[in-house]
Amino acid sequence: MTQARGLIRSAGRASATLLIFALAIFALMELAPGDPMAQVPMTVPDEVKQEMRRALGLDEPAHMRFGLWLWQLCVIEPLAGLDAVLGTQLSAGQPRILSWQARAPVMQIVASHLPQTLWVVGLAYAVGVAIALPLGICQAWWRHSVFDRAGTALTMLAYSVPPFLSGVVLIAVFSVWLGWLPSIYDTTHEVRGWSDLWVQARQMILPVAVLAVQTTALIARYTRAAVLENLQMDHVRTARSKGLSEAAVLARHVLRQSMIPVVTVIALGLPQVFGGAVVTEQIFLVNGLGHLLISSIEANDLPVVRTVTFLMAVLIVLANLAADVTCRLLDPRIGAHD
Amino acid sequence: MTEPVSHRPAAKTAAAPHLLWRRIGAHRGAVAGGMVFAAICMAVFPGAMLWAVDPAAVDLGNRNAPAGLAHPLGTDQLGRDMLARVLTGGRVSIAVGVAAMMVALGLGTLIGVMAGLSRRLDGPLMRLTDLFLSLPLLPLLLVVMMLFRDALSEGLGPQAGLFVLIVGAVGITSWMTTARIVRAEVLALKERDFIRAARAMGVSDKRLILHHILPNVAAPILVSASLGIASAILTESALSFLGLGFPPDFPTWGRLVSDAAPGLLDYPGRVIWPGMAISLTVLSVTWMADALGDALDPRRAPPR
Repeated sequence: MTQARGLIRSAGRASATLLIFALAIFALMELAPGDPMAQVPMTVPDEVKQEMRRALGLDEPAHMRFGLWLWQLCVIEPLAGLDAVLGTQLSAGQPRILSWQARAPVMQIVASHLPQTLWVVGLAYAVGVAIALPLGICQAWWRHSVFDRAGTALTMLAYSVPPFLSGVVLIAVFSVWLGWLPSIYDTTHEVRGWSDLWVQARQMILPVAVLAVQTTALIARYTRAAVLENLQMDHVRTARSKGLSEAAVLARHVLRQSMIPVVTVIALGLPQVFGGAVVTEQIFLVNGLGHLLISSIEANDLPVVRTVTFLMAVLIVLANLAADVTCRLLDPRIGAHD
Repeated sequence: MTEPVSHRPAAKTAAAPHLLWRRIGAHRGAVAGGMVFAAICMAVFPGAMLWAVDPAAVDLGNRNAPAGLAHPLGTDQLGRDMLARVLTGGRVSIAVGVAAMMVALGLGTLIGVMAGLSRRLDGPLMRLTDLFLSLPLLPLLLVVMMLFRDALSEGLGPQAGLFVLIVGAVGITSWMTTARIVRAEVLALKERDFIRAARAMGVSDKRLILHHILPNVAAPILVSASLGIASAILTESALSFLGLGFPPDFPTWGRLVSDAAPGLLDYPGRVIWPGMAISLTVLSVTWMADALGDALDPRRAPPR
C-alpha cells in the first residue's frame, strides 16, 4: 500500500513540476522584450496591426492567454488526439493551439516530427545503455587494470568530443569518403518491405551512433562508480566467504544494488540527450522535434516553441517517473519511508 | 581575513593542503590534465598577444592559403589567419566557460549551504533543484537566447551583451549538481563535533558558514568547478554551432567549427583545429576533475 501511495506522490510531484514549467516558459516569453509584430513591415498601418494581434489572440490579458494555453494543452489537444485515433468529434469547434507560421494546429506539426526524434533518441539511448552497462560493470570488476584505464580514457574522450564535431567527421568519413552511408536523413522514406527497412537502418546508423556515444560516456562512468562502491560492501565479502562463485556474487549481491543509482542517472541523462538530439538533428537534417524547435525559433513562432519545449519537458518527466517506479521495484525500502 | 585566529582548528587546516597536494601530485592524470589545461590557457591568453595578427583582418588575395610560415594553420575563405582566429575563439570559449562555472558554483554553493543548514528551506530548495534537473536545458537555453539576445545586445553592445546573456543562462541552468553535493556535505558536516563546538561558542551564522563550513566543502566544490568549466564550454559551443550564440563575425570555437563544417572535405583543418581545441580542453579539465575527486575522496582507493 505504501508503494502505491509513494507512487501517487511522485506522480503528483511530476505534474506540479510540469505546471511550474508551463508557467515559467509562458512567463519567460511574456517578460521578454520584443514584439511578435516586430517583423511586420513598417508600412502596415496600426489598425491592421491591431487586427492581426486580435487574430493571433494577443489582445487578451496574459493570464487569460496562459489559462487558455493550459486548457488547450490538457483538455482540447488530448481530445483532438482521441478524435484523430477514433474518428470521433469530441474537439470539434474548440480552439486548438495554432502555429503562427503555418496556421495549422501545433499538435499536427508535432505529430509529424515526433516519430523521427523518438526513434533516433530512443534507439540511441537503448544502444548507449546496452554498451555502457556491461562496460561499466567490467571496468569496476577489473578495476585499475589496463581494460579499466582504457575504458575510462575512452569514455572521457567520448564525453569531450562535442556531437557536432563527431557528427561532421563521421559524415566526412563514412558518407563522403567511403560512401557507405547516407549523410542526410530522408524523413519521407517509408518502410514497406525488407529493402526499405535496410535503407532506413542505414540512414539511422550515423545519427544514432553520434548520440549513443554521448549516452555511453555518461552512463558507463556512473555504472563503474556504483558497482565499485557496492563491491566494497560488507555483505559482498560475506557472500564471498560463504563460498558463492564470483559470478553469483556479482549477479545477486552487487548488480541489483548498483542499478538503483544507475537507473536514476539514465533518467537524469535524458535532458542532455535531448540537447544532443537538437544538435544531431541539425547536422543530419533529421526532420524531428529539435529541427522543428530551431526553425520555429528562427521564425519567432512562439506557440510552437512553447509547446515543443513543454513536450520535451513532459518526455523527461515521464522518464523520471519511470525511473522512480524502477527504483521502487529494485529497492523495496524506498517505498517504506513514504 | 584579518580576524584573530584564536579559535581556528589550526592542526586540521595546516595538514590538509599539504596532504592534498601530495595526493594530487601522486595522480599522474591530475598533473597531466592540469598541465594541458594550463598550456591551453597560456596559449590562448598571453599567447594570443605574441601572435599579434588581427583575427578579423580580411586578405582577399590570400584566401584559403595552406598552412605555411606566414599562416601556421592557413587562412579561411576571406584570407583571415586561422591561428589568430582559433586563439581568439579560445579566449572567448574559455572565458565563457570559467565565468559560467563561477555563476553556477556561486548559486549552487549558496543553495546547497542554505538547504543543508536550514531545515525549513531544505524541502523547497531540493524540490527546486529537482525541477531544474528535469528541464530540457538546451532547448530552454535556445529559447532564452532567442528572446533576450536583441534586447541585451542593444543595451550592452553586441559582444558584451551576448557574453552576459550566455554566461548567465548557462550558469543559471547548471548549478544543480553543485547544490546537491554541497547540501550532502553540509548535512554530514553539521553533526560533526567542531561545528557543534563552534555553535556552542556562539559563533555567528555568517562566520560559521565562511570559516567552518565552506573550507570543509571546498574539495567537492573544486571537483564540480572543473566539471562545470567543461560542460559550460560544451554548451556554449553547441549554442554557437546552432547559430544562437555569438554573432558570426565573432570567433568562438563552436562558431569556427560551425562555419567550416560545410567545407570539411576541402579544408579539414578548419574544422579539426578548433574542434580539437574544444575536445582537448574539455578532456583535460574532466581528467583533472576526476583525478581531483580521487585525490580528495579518502574512500576511493589511490591509483596503483
